[in-house]
Amino acid sequence: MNRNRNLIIGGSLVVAIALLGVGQATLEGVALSQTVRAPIFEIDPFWPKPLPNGWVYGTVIGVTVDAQDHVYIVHRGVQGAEAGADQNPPLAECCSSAPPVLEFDADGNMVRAWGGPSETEEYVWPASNHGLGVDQMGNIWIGGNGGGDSHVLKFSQQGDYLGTYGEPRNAPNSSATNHFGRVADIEFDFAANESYFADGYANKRVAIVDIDSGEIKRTWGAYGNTPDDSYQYVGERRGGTGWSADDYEEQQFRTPVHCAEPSNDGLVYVCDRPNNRVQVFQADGTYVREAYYAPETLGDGAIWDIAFSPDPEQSFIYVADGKNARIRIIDRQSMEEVSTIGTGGRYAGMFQAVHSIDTDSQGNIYATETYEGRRLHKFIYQGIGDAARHQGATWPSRN
Amino acid sequence: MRLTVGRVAAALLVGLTAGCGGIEDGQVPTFEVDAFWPMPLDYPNILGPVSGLTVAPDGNVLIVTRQDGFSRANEVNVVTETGTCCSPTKAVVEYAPDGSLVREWGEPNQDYPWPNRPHAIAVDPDGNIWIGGGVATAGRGGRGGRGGRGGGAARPGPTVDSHILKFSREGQHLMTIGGVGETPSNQNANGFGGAAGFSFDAGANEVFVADGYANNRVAVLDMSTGELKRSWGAYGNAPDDADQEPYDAGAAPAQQFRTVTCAELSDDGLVYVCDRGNNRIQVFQTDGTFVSEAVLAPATLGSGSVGDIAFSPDRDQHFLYVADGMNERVAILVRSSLEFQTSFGVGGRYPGHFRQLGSVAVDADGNVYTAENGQGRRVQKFVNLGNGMITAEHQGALYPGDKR
Repeated sequence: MNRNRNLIIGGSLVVAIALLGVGQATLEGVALSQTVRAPIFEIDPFWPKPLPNGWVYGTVIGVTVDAQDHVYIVHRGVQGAEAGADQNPPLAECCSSAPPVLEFDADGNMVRAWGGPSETEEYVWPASNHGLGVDQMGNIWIGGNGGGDSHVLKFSQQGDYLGTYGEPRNAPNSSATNHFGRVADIEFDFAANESYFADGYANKRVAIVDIDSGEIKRTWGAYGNTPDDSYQYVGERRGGTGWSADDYEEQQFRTPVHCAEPSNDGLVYVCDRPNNRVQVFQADGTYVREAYYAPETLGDGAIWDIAFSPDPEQSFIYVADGKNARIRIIDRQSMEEVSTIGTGGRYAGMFQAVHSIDTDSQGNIYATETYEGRRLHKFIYQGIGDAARHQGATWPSRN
Repeated sequence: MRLTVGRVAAALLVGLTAGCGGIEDGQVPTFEVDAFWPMPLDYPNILGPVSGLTVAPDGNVLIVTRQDGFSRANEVNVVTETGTCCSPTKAVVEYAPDGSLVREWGEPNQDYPWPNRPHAIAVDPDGNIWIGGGVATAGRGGRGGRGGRGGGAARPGPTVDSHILKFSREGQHLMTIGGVGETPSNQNANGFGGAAGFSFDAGANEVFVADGYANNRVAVLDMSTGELKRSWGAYGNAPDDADQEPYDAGAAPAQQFRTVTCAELSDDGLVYVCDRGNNRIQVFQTDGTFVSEAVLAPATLGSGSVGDIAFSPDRDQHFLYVADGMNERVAILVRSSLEFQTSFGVGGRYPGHFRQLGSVAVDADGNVYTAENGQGRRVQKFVNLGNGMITAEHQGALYPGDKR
């Protein structure tokens, strides 16, 4: 979504009522079977339309929506027998790896496909592409989390190369001012002409970049601390059961720093993925607050990506939790979890490793899966209503 | 693209043609995928690779799933105590026609020798369940993401499942047929080489076993005792254990089966054999006399184009459905001529798409069910909309009409 810093005071009656309901229903001890007031969604199993040319998706590790509600993804393609038609000789008529960047219109038609290494070595395509954002000019920014991915690429909507931010092929260094460390995601503060890099898979910082000059204007780590690559974490993550991230208040982000999302009201929400927490900052890096979700989650962690609801107040945060196979619906003011959507599985509205998330102007959610899920899902916004604490696969009623 | 044959008209047509034993020239069954079948399992349960599928006489749909394919790093997080989702179901899952879960059962470490890699499930005329096996490659498991490790722990024992299990409908173990841990051989009267499919001849009290992944024969057993009565190879030749050259579409037809993944008995007493790796169907009389063959997508390499077969439910079993896992589609053939008519499905992970399509089955209403092995991990339902004219050679994903 395009984001700006216009602070709009006041809220719609519907949202006000919803928040009252939320406050009641999220009190501890409320039975899970009880309903809550929350945004309600329904999966559209037939969106997007089937790809042309026998193309298939690989791990889908980035999604963004532009001002026209076009949806862009970046994925990593398929290899080997899954790309049977790409082999020499072909193994079968199925399948071919789709180009890395795909653009869909609101109806789910694929309208553009592009990306990949430069044939003229004009730019360095990421070793492992990861994350994308769309700026106010409609240009597409792409990060990477592979070895040597210390840069971000910018392309036009048509896929023409426009520029590189940061020098490629540098070793990670959270103090560097001329490159990044495997940028996981890119967002924008258009009013300030700034780009927010979740930096990243190797660095432990948020990096704010001037959109025009590419200069790194400021960076910060967890709690607003100076990023420190030598930090020794207090909590042992793989030492058995019972580990709970919120017992430790780790003073550095635990890589990957997986998102950094500016809100309308001048705050920045950071996905500290394996620390299972969202940290909130002012735009200058001043720490505001944090919230933990599923704090005992190990491995990949619980906080993979964030999107805001598109109402003026951005009342809700949607958190992609790939490890627990859910999208968490968070009340942005209280940071309390209101409801969840999704469940584990390979059918419509189910997830294997939900990874990236964004919303369009109508409030619909787009979510992608990495690993073996490999899809782009659309969840159609149904308004605020009585929802189950866990909405599950969000299938339509069969009546 | 589905041409304009309405549901009601089509249903009438099916009824009429079923009665008089013919289907109008050029017409084929038309379908659309039901994206909301079966119903979701309770969180956090998920299906593993679906390696067998059948429709019971009462219309319930049974699948057998593998439990060795999960990523421990990021999929079975309940098992690894790293997250709240997910956890594998038991191996056998039975759904009612409406897609609701009826029961689940079957797993390793019970009082029966669960296959390393269960494959194929079938219901015999007495209502009992038969389950075969496959070939497990040592150390292999599901791929994770970055740094993801394979699924189940390394298991000692054979890599080829040489036995067949028989259970009651509720999952009570009744019988083990064939020795456990036998070295696969087409000459072995007491063991199989990854039994990959079953069909039953109630009148003769016989079961036809697609044998299999490591052997290359059809094995016919006494249904009650499990005793091997006869077996045959391609063209009715005696099956042999000789090493085979890689498949070559330009070579003379192989005189042995390569991978036998189905042996389906038709109502008129013919046995349709999936010679998967040779991309062909061979048809036999029940005594093993060769009748005819057809090659499907002959350029297909890899694991081959003919993975499983099901018959349409009309009196003549007029159509044959073939699960083609390499090309990720279901081919529709006329059974009598073995002529290809059209296909549906395309590669991918959305409804009506396939990833490692392995099995196909049909219910009494003509609805088609498919199962995806490997990383597909679904059983999908395609609702029969009646017969119509289809011009597309390959129809692709059968989304509902207003979504195409």
